[in-house]
Amino acid sequence: MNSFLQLEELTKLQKLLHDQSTPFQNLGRKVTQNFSNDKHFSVCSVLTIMLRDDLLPKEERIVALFLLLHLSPLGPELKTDGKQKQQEQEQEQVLNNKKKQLSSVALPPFLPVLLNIAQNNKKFNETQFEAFFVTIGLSDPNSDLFKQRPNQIGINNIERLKKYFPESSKIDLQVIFTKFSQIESEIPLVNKMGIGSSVPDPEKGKESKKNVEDLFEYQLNTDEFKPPFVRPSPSILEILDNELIWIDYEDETLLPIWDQSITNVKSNNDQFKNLLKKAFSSQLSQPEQQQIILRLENEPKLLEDSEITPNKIKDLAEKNPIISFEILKRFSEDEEKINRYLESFIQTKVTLHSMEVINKLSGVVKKLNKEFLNRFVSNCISSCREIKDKYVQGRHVRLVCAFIRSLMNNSQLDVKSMYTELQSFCVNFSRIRDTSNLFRLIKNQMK
Amino acid sequence: MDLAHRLFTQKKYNEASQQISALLEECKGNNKKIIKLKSHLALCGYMKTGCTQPEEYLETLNGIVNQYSQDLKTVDLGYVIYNQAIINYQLKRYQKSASQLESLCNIVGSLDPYLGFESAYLFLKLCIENNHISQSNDLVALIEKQFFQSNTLNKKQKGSELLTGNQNKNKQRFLMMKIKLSLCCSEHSKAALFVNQLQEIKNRNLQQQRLQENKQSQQKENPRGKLTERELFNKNLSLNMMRCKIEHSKMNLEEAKNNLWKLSKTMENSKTEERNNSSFWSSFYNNLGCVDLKNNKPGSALFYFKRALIANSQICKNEKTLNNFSKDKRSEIMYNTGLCLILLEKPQNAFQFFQGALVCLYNRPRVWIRLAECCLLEHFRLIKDKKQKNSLNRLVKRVIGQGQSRTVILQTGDGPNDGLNINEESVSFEDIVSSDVGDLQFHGIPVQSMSLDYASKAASNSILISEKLLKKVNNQKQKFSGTNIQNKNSKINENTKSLNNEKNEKKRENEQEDEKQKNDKNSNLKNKSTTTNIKIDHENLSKNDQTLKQDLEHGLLLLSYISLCCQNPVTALSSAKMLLNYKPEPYREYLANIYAAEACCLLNNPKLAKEYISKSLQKRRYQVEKLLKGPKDLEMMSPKEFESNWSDCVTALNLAFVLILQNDIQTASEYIKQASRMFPNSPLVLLSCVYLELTNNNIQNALDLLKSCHAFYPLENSQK
Repeated sequence: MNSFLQLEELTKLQKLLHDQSTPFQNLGRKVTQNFSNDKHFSVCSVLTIMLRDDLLPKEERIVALFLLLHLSPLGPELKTDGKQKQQEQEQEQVLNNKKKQLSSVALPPFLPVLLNIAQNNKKFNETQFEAFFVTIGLSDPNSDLFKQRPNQIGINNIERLKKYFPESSKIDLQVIFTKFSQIESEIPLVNKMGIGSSVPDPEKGKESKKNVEDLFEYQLNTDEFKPPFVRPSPSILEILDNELIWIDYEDETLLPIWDQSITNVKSNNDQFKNLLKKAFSSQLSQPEQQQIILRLENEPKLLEDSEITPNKIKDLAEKNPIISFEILKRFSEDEEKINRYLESFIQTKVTLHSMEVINKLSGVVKKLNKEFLNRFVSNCISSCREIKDKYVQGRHVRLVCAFIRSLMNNSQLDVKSMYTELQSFCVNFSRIRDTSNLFRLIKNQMK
Repeated sequence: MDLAHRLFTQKKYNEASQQISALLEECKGNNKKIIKLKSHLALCGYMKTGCTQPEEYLETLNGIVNQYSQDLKTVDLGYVIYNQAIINYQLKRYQKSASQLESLCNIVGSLDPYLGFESAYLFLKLCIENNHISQSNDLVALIEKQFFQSNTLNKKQKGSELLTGNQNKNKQRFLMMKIKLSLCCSEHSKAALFVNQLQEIKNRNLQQQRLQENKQSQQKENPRGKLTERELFNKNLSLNMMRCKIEHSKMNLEEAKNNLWKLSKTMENSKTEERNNSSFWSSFYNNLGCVDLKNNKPGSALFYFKRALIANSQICKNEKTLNNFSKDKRSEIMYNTGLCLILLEKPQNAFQFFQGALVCLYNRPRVWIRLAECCLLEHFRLIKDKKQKNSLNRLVKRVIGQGQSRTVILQTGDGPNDGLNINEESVSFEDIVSSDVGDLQFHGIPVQSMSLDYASKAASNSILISEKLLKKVNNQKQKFSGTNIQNKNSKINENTKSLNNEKNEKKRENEQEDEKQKNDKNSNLKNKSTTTNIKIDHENLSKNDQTLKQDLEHGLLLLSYISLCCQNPVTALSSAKMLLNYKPEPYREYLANIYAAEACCLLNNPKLAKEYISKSLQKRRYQVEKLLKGPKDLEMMSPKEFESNWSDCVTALNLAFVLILQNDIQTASEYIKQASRMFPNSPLVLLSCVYLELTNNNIQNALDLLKSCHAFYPLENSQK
């Protein structure tokens, strides 16, 4: 309660509530005299809480209700004249307009409390008598009832109250109730489920005693007593193994670097040439091969300065077939040039590596010289005959078969022109299964 | 040019500058050459100042790139871009550095091999430091393919041939990175294998060195064997650190600690300059702290972290060079300290340290989660204090009057619900702020005040960051399924975007702007929740990605909870719904359903609230069934929740609440009775019972219930 009124103010208010011998209207005047306008809200709040929590005896509740009615006057827009009302009843449209107009009007803050009591829905522990009292107060604020003293009206005597009920209400309560129910429907259910937080616990055989200090220390608040919705809190996320940051000591110093590529351009080219020279005589490691291929990809012009001759390309194919293939691939754009280089493969003995290079080339270059291919295949076939060791010969024949098959698959080999030679090759080495498969393939192609 | 380079290596920067200036005049019109000369000139100027003015150097490099980027290819600007990346890295501008290195890695084949390796190596280092695991794996594959060709190298190693020169050094550096990456992926055996490989290379180097030493000693008759070993040990410090980390990862914590102590003793016995190496000591003490924290000794861990911070402060005090700046690991140590303080239940102090860690670790969702948790812990503490001070823990606020007019006034408001679990004993924050951490208080960083508002912003940040990172991971996986090794470069392209978190960059630069951004994010969360829908492939998530997913889920859970505390049911509902879409682990799913239900109640939709509560009930039943099947499933939910059936009680009470909202008091009373059978003395259960009695006008029963529980009745009256 001290959050609304000071102890002195509360004492003043309690005196007014105790006063049963002063007419209601005078009590109303007194309350406006004792409390300035800015305190009216606090007074109303305290009265509401007292009513809700049932902290007052029955006699004082009536005074509290009157004070609440007195301090929550209805605005002029809610008041109606009796004659005007009759006219409006005749003209429904006008009435509807009025209702619409009313919907935009805000109700005084404590009017819902009074309306709740008037409806007697027990939210404020009100009796039927109190509901009737409030209804009269709402209908006719200047009713003769309020010229009476509190101790004159007789608590719970509804019959006595009935004579004060106005014949034609100055206030259209129906309109107000409609508006009130509209507002109520908008209030969340959670806010409506609360009940008063006081529970009467009378002690038997003892006198009733509740002084102002008790009320003051009560520390009233507007919250209502509700059942709890249990909201368990999420637990702290467990500290994971990799969450702790382990710092590795590093003596490495990262500094900007000097661009040595200018000084190295020449040396880089030299390095390429040296590597190529090495490739003619020995097998290069994979990184070295990769280095040459990368350079060739990025700078194809490097080949122009290189000293690769048709004679050397055969040596290169023997030592480093992949590089040989890469170079021949780049030469393939110039037909004359590639033919010159391929010629070297005819002039020397057929080897596994040379077959590998030509095979790869046949997959990349669309049309290899047919004459060259025929001659190369003839050489391959004759090389098989030259081998005397049967085991080595068998292996070589299988490779030649695979090579020819690959050429046929790439549509590079003219089978018709070589049919006789291929047929005799297959017949001669018919003991090897691969040749029969090859022969079947040749026959199929001939069809 | 050779002369200029020679002068540069001799640290004669003025002379080198003069030489380059002369060359600049000679080569007008040759843009490629001009770029290189200009960058050399800038480098000389930078080195001349003792690397103390990185911003100026960076500005010159930026100028060169801007001027020539339209006319020339990236290959021609390679060195300039790399140097930009190095400076940005050391200034801890990781996003910028990553994007620059990424552009270089995309054309690594056409770069000068030296530059190519350095760029890829630095990018890999950056990715590992930022926990971008899949990106790091791609880079490892790229480096192996481009520079080492692992097959041939392995064959060579079998033949115990020594790698030579730079390749040897680079191989060692690369192995170190591979070890780090393996540890990040918790692949300990793989890491151990790499450590052994590294040790082999170093042993071979040692043998070679000894041979040379022997030759020299035979010539000079000056045996230096012992000293060489010590020198070598110093060189191997980082390797030993790595070994300790492996031990530590294998959970042989004591052994790891012993190793660290041995390491420190060797350091102390070694040369004075090494002993004064602050960078070593800061990492050493930090790691000791980590080991102790793992051993559940937060007290001694805090002591070590404190020493680590002191050692770290010396790094920048000594000499303000850029290299020292990059060695400053304050953020990392502060983060560890924060974790330690959370375990010591000092959220206020932990909050300050996490704020300090944000400077560099702002793009880690976990840091934001920790910040939110600190705020929440502090909120609980304040509520508990307030309750104790105002006797809010009691169900009866006061008894007024005497005799016939005696009235019992019940406690109203959220009361016992706020921040407390139904089991009063399960959460205790009493001693959280009782002791202080003395000189460990961090000064110099503008510390944001702890509040629920800040907590909600921090949770939102964690969600946004983890969501973004997870999206990237998913994109990568989708692309990965249909690609071969040749496409790896383009994948790196995709991956790097995760580092380009521009919003976070701004956060670091301007705290105030950050606040506004976070506000926006917070308000946009609702919209985001409807638009973003990441489909997570749960089975294929790596350990790191699972952590990320956990961060996302926990962030959403925190946001939902905090929003309810802040009476913002809309955000609470949207984040809970978002969390439920991700199919979280059962414990989180259970809580998300409860939060969603409460939000629905507040939004006037008890029907939907009931549905959510029913779901949480189903989840709980499902868990119990699983529990009966075998102990394996216990890992799914924290043991505390399983130990008691408080979750059943919570569900019953909440269902009763919703039924009361729907005016179904009779069914509600059955649920409340069910809850009271489980926890008859719980204040929350008692409150519900009292409410039920009062609504049924059974005032005497309500009073009896209140009086039966002395702990919640005012002392003076209960004595009466």
